[in-house]
Amino acid sequence: MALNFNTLQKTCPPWFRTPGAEDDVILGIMGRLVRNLRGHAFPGWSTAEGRRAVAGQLLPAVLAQPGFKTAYHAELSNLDYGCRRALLERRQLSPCMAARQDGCHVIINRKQDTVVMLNEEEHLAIHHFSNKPDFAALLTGLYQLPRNLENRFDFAADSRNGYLTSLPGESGEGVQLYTVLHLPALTLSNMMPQVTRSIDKLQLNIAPFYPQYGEECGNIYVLYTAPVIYGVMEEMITHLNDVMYTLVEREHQVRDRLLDLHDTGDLLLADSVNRSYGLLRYARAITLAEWVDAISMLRLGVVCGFVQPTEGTEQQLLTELAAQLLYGGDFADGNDIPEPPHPRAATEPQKARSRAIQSILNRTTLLTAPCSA
Amino acid sequence: MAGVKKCQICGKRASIYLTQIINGQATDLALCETCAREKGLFDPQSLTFAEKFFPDAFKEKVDKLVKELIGSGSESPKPAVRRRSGDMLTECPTCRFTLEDFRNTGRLGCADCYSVFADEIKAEEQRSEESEATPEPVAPESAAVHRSRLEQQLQAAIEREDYETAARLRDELKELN
Repeated sequence: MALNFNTLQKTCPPWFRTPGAEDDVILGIMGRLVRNLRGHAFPGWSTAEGRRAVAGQLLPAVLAQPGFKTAYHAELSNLDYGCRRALLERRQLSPCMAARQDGCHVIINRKQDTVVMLNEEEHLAIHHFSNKPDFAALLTGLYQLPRNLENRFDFAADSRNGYLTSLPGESGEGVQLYTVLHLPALTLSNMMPQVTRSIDKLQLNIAPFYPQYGEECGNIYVLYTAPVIYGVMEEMITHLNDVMYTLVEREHQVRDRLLDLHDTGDLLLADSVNRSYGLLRYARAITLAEWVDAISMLRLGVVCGFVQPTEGTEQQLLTELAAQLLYGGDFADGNDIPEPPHPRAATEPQKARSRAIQSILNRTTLLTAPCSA
Repeated sequence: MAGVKKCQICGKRASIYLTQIINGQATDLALCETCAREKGLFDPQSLTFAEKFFPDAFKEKVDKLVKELIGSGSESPKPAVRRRSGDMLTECPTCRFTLEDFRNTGRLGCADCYSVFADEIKAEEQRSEESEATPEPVAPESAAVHRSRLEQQLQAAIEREDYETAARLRDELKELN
């Protein structure tokens, strides 16, 4: 039986399922692969009829592939605003796709590690996620579907440009690589502007994971490559890995530095963690931006030993906090938010968030005492 | 959107398109790469030169090919509907995307646009490489011209439902205001 939206919402996609690698710094990696069919206008230029013709060919073929027979599938015109926002927050719909209508489809496999979008910016766009920072394994998973489809479809490609895309500058391997990094210490130390400038010079890009809530919201960033030029995939992976692990090293160095400062009486780290703990414990109508910031600092507090579980392990606590980032979403249930009875009253998602975090905090203890003066 | 053109010789997908005027009537030719190469018509750029430098020999060659194709009972020639600028095709026969669209948006309409607008794409690549190599001029255009160009790009982005680009352009316009 095909996966439905409600069931989909009850399970976590990979990078919200476990604590990040390298002391909760690398939350996950993602590969994006695009292909176009010959003889059909690209989605940005085609009519609804043209998009339906492309989807009519690709959709049955994708749904017949192993792992997709029970996948969640929807045409965008059948998804309301709330569902689109929920999928966007879960990174299971691209922003460009969220605005599309007729002839555009989203397919999510049961493991939720692969999302297929038909008639997004290109005819076929595949996003494959992993919470382990292993690009070789990621690419194996990413190429599986197009390899199976290559015998049946004539994907547009030529020897000069590689795979052809609607933007000529993006032709090539048809692949883009992303890593999601949790960098609370670098953010706390106001070092992200320098990091961003350095990344620019290294021919990579870095952007906030929650751009709609601000540049540093949740201290989570996406480090990503430009679309990979034909024949340089290995070099690009090596380069991205190098930069990713350099950032991990810098984050660890700054965390160590903050801990050293804490030992000498500096309150920046302890104060940030305790404030977040207090906010999550006692605030009544916490906004989503405040929520993800506080969860991020709490995660840092767990890794640095300031917040400890009274039940279970640190890993279990981090896992629960990771999932809270997702279920803290205002659109987590896929429905539009009903207006509260009073302008300053908490909305239903805010109440649900509060209940969930109280349950977690009841099983933790805060090791750094609040300042008595 | 128009259907895919087939090679008038072998019936495979066409990637080279020519328009020849005979007695005032335009005749379209659609050929695949292999057949075009066999007929000595592979490089559109060389065709332009051939036409300029050896007009008689060129006309004879294309006339012969057109007659051969019409005589063999393949797809009947249709009146020309494509726009041309000098000797260059300015509209993709497959998807009707125009050269102007490409210049305005930087995007292409379909995979066949890559061969139709090959020269323009190459020129664009060169321009972008040069602009990366050289620093931007201090005042490349007046604020009014810049605003007008951004507004045009915004309109084009909205029409093709490219909301990410549209949002970026909207923000740039806001900053200008």
